[in-house]
Amino acid sequence: MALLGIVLFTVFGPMQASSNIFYANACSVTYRSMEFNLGIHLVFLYQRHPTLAVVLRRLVGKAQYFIMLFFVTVWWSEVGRPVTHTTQTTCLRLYYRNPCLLDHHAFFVRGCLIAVVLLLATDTAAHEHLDREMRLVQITSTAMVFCWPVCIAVKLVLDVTFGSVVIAASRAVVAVLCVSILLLLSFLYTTLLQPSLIKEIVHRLTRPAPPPDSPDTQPP
Amino acid sequence: MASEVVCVEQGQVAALHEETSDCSSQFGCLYESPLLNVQTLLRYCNILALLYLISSAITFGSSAYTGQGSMLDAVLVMVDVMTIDISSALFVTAGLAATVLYVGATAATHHLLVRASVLSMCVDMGLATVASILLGSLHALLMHEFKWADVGFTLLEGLTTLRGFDFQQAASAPHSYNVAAWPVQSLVWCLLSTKSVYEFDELIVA
Repeated sequence: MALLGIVLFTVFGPMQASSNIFYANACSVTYRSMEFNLGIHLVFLYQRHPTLAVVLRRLVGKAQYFIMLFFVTVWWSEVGRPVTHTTQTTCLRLYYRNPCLLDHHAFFVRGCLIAVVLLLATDTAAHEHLDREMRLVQITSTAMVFCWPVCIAVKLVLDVTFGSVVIAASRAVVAVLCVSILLLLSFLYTTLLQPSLIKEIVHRLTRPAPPPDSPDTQPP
Repeated sequence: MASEVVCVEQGQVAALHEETSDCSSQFGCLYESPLLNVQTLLRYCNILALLYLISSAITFGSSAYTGQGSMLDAVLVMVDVMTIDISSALFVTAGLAATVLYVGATAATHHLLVRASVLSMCVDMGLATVASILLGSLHALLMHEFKWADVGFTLLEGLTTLRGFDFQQAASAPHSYNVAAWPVQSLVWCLLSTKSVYEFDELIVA
């Protein structure tokens, strides 16, 4: 049942390639919440049917490297495919300026398969470094939010410093620089600025209203 | 269900901690769940998020966003396909991790964790929206593609954290200046719904 919505979008998106179905849902909260809920249902089923989970775990344990190889092959096969940038046509695309994709590229269920493999490859051992992983989640989530502005800032600074011709010829290096700077800034931000910002916001939100006769509420 | 207490150090949890729970230190307390190793699930989330960041940086470096020919165009379709697969996997894995945390924690601790996570995401979104409007406008001006509608749209999406209004590819339709932030925007609402979805599952099966 949980997969029905995802399958529906997977089938109808590529079928209506000249419509906005895929574009509108690929980044939308409505579709993505279905995938998130699939995760919730999977844990629920995992709890309810432990015997089935053990059997599947054994099966995936043997096949996981082949599955991962399949994904790497699918991705690698697209290297070198020529792209034409046009914003005039309506087609299967991820973002507004991205190139048009083919039917088999826009296949949502494939990504869910990775998650199922990861679930079945997860052990039930005790938590040892949970705090470290939580901290990393915080950093990566901040990095995702600030990714685009930081990339723009890095590009603008490099363009001004070295000239746009030099930078245009070194886009791969700039991409590596963008990710490195982004992660460093996210780490610094979550360590130094974010805790005090959140503390201040929580303090302001939970502060009781001043009494009517206090100086704050008196007219000047 | 709970056997052993694991304390999780987190900036925001510590900031919010004064209001809750029996823990005597400046830590949020999580009960260990025997279900699945949440640490491994969170590690998967981090790896997928890192891959998403790399693919976003490559997408930004392509000629579609820089206006000049780019050698990264050769891998752009691969990166798009990878982003579609990785983001799907990221959302399902985030659902798994959020549920295991929900099942393993007490109601008060889970409420605290969700509150801290959502609050930090919203604060990040607010700051990123301001940065996106300033830098995105400058970038759009340099590329001769500035539109006031895009500024308003970015502001709307940043304030509501709702990524659902960009449903048209047409050049006349508004588009956000913060292109890559959509997973976090969607995760805000997904995290808020974890408890109710799980309880609904229990209700159906009961």
